Amino acid sequence: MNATPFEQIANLDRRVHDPARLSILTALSACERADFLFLQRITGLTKGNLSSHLSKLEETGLVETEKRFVNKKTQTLVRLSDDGRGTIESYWKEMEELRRSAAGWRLQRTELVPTPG
Amino acid sequence: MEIQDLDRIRFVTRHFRELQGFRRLVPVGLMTLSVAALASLTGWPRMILPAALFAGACLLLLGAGRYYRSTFGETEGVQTEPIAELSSLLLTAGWPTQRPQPVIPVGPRFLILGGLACAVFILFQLLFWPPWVTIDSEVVFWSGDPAMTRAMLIRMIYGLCGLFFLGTSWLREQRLSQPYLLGIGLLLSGLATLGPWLAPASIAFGVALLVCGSSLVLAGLLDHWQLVRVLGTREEE
Repeated sequence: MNATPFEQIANLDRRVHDPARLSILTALSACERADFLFLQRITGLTKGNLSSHLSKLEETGLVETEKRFVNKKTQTLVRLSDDGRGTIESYWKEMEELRRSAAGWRLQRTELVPTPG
Repeated sequence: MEIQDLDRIRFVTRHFRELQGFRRLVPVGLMTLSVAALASLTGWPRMILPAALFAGACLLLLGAGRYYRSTFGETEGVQTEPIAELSSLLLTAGWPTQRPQPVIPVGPRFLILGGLACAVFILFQLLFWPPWVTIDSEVVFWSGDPAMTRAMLIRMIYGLCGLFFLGTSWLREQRLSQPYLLGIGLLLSGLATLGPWLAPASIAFGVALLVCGSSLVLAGLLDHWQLVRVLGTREEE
């Protein structure tokens, strides 16, 4: 039996289904790796917020970080792990299925509404 | 956060290096303008302007990379085999959603675009204005007419530059936010094909280099503006 849209929403990956984390993962899925400054610029997050989200993503194994020194400054490079790349791809597939089933569900509901007279 | 925001994030990240207009397009445009100034001007401006334009281009080549790195950060593109990506592009007729996510690094991408542009231009030239005529069933190659050779070279400059812009628009997913690439590409391709009839004054070396150089500078500035608009004004959500 197919899941209803509500069940599909409930089953979405919570590690990804958050605006800030989704922005970070979308950016990282479009490149090999990006540094902290770029991610801060593209997502519009503050340093603290971005750092906190990256820590959570790293804890869950979706991203990998690497630190290196460039001109005596620390540069943090972030990349999607293999698991992270697979997770974001399947997230978009789930969202697409959800969009389709939500449209179908709305049609079914319309059929149940009694017509006046 | 809307789906368009995520799409913008994906596009800018994917094409981050190409959108750094002051790194490549503007310096190349300034160098082209410097050659245009050298070919067209006389007197003291001929000494000063080309040198100033060339110096400006060199400064940008040396400093723009550092500016972009310190202001917007860095990304590294996914490396792929250029031939594999090219065949995939051709097989899917450039349809963006069917393309694989990895992209070719900027250098090989421009080489591929240049090669494609040359091939299309030569094919077009041979089909419509071949360098030979048939007289009494005998093929005679025209040669030795400097005016004709010069006109052909000038049209080739327009054609290659136009095809470069059209190809760039194609590789950048034909975005509605980048109509200038398509517009400039069509304008230059139009000058390459119909220039001698519609705008005879455009068939001069100085004018051709001026138009192409200005187009490169304009496209570079608009690319930079788009990058700044997306990366420079986003705020905490």
